Amino acid sequence: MIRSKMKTLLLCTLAILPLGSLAADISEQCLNEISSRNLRIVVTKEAGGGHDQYARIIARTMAATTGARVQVSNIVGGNGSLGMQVVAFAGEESLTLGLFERERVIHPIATTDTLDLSDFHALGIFAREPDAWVARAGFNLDEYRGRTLVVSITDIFPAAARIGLSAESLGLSVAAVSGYSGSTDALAAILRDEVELSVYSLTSVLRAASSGELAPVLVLSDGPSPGYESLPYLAGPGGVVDQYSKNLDPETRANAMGLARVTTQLSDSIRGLFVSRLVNPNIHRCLVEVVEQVIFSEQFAVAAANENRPIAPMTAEDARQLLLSSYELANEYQPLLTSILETMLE
Amino acid sequence: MLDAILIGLSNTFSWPGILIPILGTLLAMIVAFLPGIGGASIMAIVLVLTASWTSESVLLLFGAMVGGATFMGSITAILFNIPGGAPNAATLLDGFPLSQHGYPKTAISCAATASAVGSVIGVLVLILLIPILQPVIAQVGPLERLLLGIWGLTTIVAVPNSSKAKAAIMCILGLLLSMIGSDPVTGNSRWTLGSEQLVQGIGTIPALLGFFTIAEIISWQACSFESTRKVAQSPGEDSVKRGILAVFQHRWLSLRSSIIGTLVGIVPGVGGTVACFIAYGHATQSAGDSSRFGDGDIRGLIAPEAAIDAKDGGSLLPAIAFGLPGSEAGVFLVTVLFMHGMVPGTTMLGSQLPLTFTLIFALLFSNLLTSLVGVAATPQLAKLKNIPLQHLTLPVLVFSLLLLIQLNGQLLDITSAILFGALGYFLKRYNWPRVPLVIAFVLGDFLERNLAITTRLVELDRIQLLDRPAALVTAVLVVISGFWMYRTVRGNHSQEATKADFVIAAFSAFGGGVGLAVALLAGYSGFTIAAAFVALTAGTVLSLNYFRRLQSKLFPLRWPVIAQEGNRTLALLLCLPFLIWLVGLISGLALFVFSWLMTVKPRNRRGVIIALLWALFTGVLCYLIFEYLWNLGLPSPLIPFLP
Repeated sequence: MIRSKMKTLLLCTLAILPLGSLAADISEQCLNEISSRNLRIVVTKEAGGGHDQYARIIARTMAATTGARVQVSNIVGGNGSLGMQVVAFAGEESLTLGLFERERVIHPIATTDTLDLSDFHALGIFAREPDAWVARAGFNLDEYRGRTLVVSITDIFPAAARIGLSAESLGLSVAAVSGYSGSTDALAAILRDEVELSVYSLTSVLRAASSGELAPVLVLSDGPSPGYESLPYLAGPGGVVDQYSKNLDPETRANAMGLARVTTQLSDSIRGLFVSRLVNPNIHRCLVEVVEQVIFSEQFAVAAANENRPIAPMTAEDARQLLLSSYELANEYQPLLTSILETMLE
Repeated sequence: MLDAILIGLSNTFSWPGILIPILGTLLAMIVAFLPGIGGASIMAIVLVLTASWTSESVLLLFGAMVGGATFMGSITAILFNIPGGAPNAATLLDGFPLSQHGYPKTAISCAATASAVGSVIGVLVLILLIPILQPVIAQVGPLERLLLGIWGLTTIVAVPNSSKAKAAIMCILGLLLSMIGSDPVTGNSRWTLGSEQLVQGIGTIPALLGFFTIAEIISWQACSFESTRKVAQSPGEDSVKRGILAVFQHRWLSLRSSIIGTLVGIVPGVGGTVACFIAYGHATQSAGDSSRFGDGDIRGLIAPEAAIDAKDGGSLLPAIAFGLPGSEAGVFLVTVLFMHGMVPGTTMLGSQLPLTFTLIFALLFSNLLTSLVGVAATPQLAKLKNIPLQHLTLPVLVFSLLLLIQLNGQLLDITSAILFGALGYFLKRYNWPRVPLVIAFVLGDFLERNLAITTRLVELDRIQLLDRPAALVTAVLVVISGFWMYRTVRGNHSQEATKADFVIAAFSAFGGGVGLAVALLAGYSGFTIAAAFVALTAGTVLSLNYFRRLQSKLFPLRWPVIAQEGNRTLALLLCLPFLIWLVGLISGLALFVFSWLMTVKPRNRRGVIIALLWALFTGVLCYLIFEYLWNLGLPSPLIPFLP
């Protein structure tokens, strides 16, 4: 059932292929610049996972498109910061790209990490999907009105938006247990009844739910997800917040609806390719051409669909605009996010 | 279930299906022996290439690839003191000394046999566990893992053939070193000295490679080559048969280590490294005479080798039972399951159970085939040991450094490895035990992370010790280990050593107690660590002060007395990170090779020419590797006049 729905989602994704015309062809000068060199895609997550699969599909497509040799390196340490450092300081002539999630470069909450959007150029975004809350099968959100929901998290600062802000919009109280060493550990904590729920991208949640022990509870989107219309969603008309806030006074309701909308804007899993700001402008321009050509190609779409990975390609300029607006939104809500996070960890 | 087992056996051992696991095993073995490709990369490629295969064929291939890679890392550990992966570091503790003492055939065949026994026992345990698998995995949470880690720590003080007090100090040092980097809970950087690169912490592989391989290279240089050669002659019978028989002579140890490997492997988020070191610690603790551990005790080879292969199957089970990958291989397995329409959980343990057994038997077959190849090739592999040490040091060193830089493309890893190498060399030279430091270093992050989660869950009233049978069992193991340690301290050591042990134990307990009390009362925080750090450091310093009275016993050599060769080697190695920063990796390595050869070759014209030629060769080789094989994007050197 879930598998067939995932196929539907992927077919919907394929429907956006005509957007490929948005991407310009690679110029001869850039082909000459790139084809004789080695490219490297740094992935900050372990081999075999979603990030890695995307990187390897992109590497194959990029190699076929440019004739260059493209290598994927998984640099996992420091919760992703090590891989980011490798990309950021790779040198001005280097063809080292980073495959990062949006949260890694926009930093909605101040952390000790020193790298952010100002250290990287976005070359393009290739995947965007909503996150979803996941809990034991049979979990009922209504039972937690007036009680504290305990959630397992691996990375503190994305959790602030994905769980804290969404719970705030629903009027739920949340306590976070941080330190789980990965999604496996965090999801297993639900099965051990240490926590009630966790949050990951919809695809990851659906995979975890395939065993029947876990189930998606709430999709953090502002409308039904294609192929999963029956799943409750957070914001927008007909969303859970819309239903929960019907009996509230207009101001509180508007506030909750607004928070829900901000949650969906800040919590999407958005994955893109980045390069260091230090890179030579000519190389940057060529990399934009190459990446756009690759992520809008039919070859990439088909390969991603074969591996059950949804795509949503976006040009470098659109990616830049999206990241900037996310950055501004995150900054605007930073005090609230920080206070929510502190409450979650109290 | 019997039907499912028979179908699984038939899928694995039928003709021509059996060619698939043979191919997978050989592929994994070759890849494991070649630096720079990596098992994960090859699995990712195979994942795509096998998209159109049947479910059975894909599982046969993946099972074989998981099993094939493990053993080869042990070969390099035994022969050259280079761990193929972090779990193989436990193998080299006694494997390399065994081969150094002239028993390479015994060591390799013993490792191969222990691996085979471990995988067979691991599979049998898995078959027994399958009906109760889901509840068993669900039982093991942060509290159980924390206790498992504490059990590992309580066993390690007994590991070395030296004072328990020194072992305790090394253990504390290992824990402190593991805390460098970032807080596993808040992500805030800690003890990084302002270095951005240190935020990631000290890598396990650089630390292990430095601590054992580089330290050993410095020791080789420090020793006279003639005397080392004499040691390398077999003093007794060195045969394949002896290695095989040793595993069966210590059959109960093999059995216990295999069970430890399987059970630890099943727990998501623990990993093979922890399993191997816990098995090693258990071997030392359960041995009647542990005086030769670390110096070529065959039991110190059997335990990690049995555990390392036994854990392979266990590590795949969370993926099968819950769709949750428990290891890197598990991540690939989940992807494979999805790509081929297999459903983890009740289905894989119910209607698709034959497929689960196909995977398990492919893994078993692969482990057995690897061991068989290992035993058959033992005489040839053992001949590599005949290469004179002075011909090995430089290639092993350059190979190790290239291996390190290929891992993450971080120059910091080279610096870490060299500093750990220097530390390891001094510890070895002054007879301070290295194993407790390594085990504590490996377990540090694991312990801290689970301590943090446990205290948070206690704070939220989500776990109770008495409700967790697995935690109770582990707690009993900790108590038994503690009691055993107390008994051996009383029985085996002089009065002075016992006093020293007491002082260290008292301060360690005080420090640990303060940390734990703060953690439980006030919740886990940076303050907990700071309090524990202050208490432990104070304990160590005071204890060291106390030790001055025992200086003659603790320091058999005076500080300045270091062999000249070792001094030169150490100085050269310590200069290497600076050289790389100054002129870049390729030029830095070439200059290093030249300087190294100039210190060991005759200083005449011929010697200089030979050194120049080797330096040139190293430079060209590195250039070709970096240009055409690894695109690392290393930062520009300060003086970029050479590549």
